[in-house]
Amino acid sequence: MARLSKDEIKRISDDLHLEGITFEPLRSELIDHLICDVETRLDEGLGFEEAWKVVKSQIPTNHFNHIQKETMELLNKKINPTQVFSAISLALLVFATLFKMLHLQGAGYLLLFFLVSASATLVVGTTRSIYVYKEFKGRIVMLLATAFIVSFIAALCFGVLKLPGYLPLLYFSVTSICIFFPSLSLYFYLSKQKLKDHLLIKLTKEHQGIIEKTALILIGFGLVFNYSSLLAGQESFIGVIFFVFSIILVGMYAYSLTWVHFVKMKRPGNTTSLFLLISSSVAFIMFILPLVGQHMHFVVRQYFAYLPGVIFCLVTFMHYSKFSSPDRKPALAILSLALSLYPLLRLALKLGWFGEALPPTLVTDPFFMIFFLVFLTVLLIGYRKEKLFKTLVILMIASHMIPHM
Amino acid sequence: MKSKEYIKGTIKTIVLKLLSEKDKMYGYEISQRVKELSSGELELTYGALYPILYKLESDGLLVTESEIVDGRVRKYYSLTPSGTETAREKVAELGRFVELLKTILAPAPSSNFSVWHV
Repeated sequence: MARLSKDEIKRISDDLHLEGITFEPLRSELIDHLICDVETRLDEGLGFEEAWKVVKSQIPTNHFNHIQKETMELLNKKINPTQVFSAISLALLVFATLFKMLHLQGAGYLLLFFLVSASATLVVGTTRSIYVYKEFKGRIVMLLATAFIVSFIAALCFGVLKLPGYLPLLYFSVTSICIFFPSLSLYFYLSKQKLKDHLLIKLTKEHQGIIEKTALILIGFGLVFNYSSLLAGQESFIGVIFFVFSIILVGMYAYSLTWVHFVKMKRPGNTTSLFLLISSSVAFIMFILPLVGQHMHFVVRQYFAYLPGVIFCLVTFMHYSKFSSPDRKPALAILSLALSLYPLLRLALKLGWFGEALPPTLVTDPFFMIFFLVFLTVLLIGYRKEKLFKTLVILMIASHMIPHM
Repeated sequence: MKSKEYIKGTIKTIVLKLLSEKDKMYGYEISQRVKELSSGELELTYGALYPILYKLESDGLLVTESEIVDGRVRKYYSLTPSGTETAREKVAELGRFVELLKTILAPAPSSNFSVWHV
């Protein structure tokens, strides 16, 4: 039987690596399978190049990644604790909302338990990913990221319960997040394609659907919470916590989308990518800092609150107008640019740039609220297949729901 | 032959059956054996075969051993005692199912009254 040379074996191995197979036992087994297949064809009289071409042509695009995913899922199908915790979280959220709507006591506590359960879901999900994807890089990074996010959620719970240690915990989590995530962004920016199989990149790519659904569910529950209070004649804004969470969730996800772009770059230094690195990191820090900025100057705080939204719109505009979208999409570019007017308008109203001509109450006007919400919902449905644009619209909906911010 | 849609639910049994006939087999060997036995009509793709092999191993029905062959690692699969038992059950079950299918797919008895006209 024909035997392949070391170079030919290396060629097959490299091609398989490019396909994203990182689970070592499966990788070495597939290499053996492919080599056997090529050797059989060599025996039939084909040359290596031709034989390898024939074998490769029989493998559908992304097939190996699919095998890897399916193998991992089958291996871990027995118990999926993440799904159990997600179900508990959702149940707590539903009960908290029902209690609130029926004006029963304990809605606040249920909401708090929901936060605890959501944090547990995050921890369990991360631990499970680290266990399942043993062969992936970045498992410690993943743990650290989770630890900082959970400490942030814990700080919010401490705040709600007025527990001692709230401020130190909040300062610790926000400072850690502000240092860790931009550093991570720089790390991916400088990676020169070496971090394509990083666990965070893999999870970012695979979890868009679940992140969007979670954000939309949170917005939905937030609406029910707020409007059930309003209908009962109370001014309760407990629903704001849902909107804030969905903004944080989608904002962080949008930031991690830049990493997916960075790990594909052959080398850093491209002006557009550098702009993306700096603008996204600045927006991220500005977006997080007001959480600890009780003593921040009012004007500075407003800029920090609204400019990240403007930056995100501009980055989306650039993506669809020229730079990173495979095909230009002028309609989406124009819409993204137009949407940047919304956070700018909010900023202008807060700072009174238009004086009496446009009062700050414009954004709380029910007609404007409903009209703009319908407009955003139409955009969300119409462009549901556009990953980046959809993320931007969800972020806009969540921030639109907090007119008093 | 459009075998893909029919083979999906039977891969596990096919793999167990083949392994019950031999001490140990590796992935490529299993796929070639299926091709050979079906005269090239059936083909186990990578995507169908490997997830099942890993699942059977994690369920304790298969054990593996690795050998270095021509400078590369080759992973051999063989049945555990419970795998042998499961193979026997699954093959019998599938056999019964095939018999039922044959009954269903056999031409229906003539329902017209032509026999009376002879």
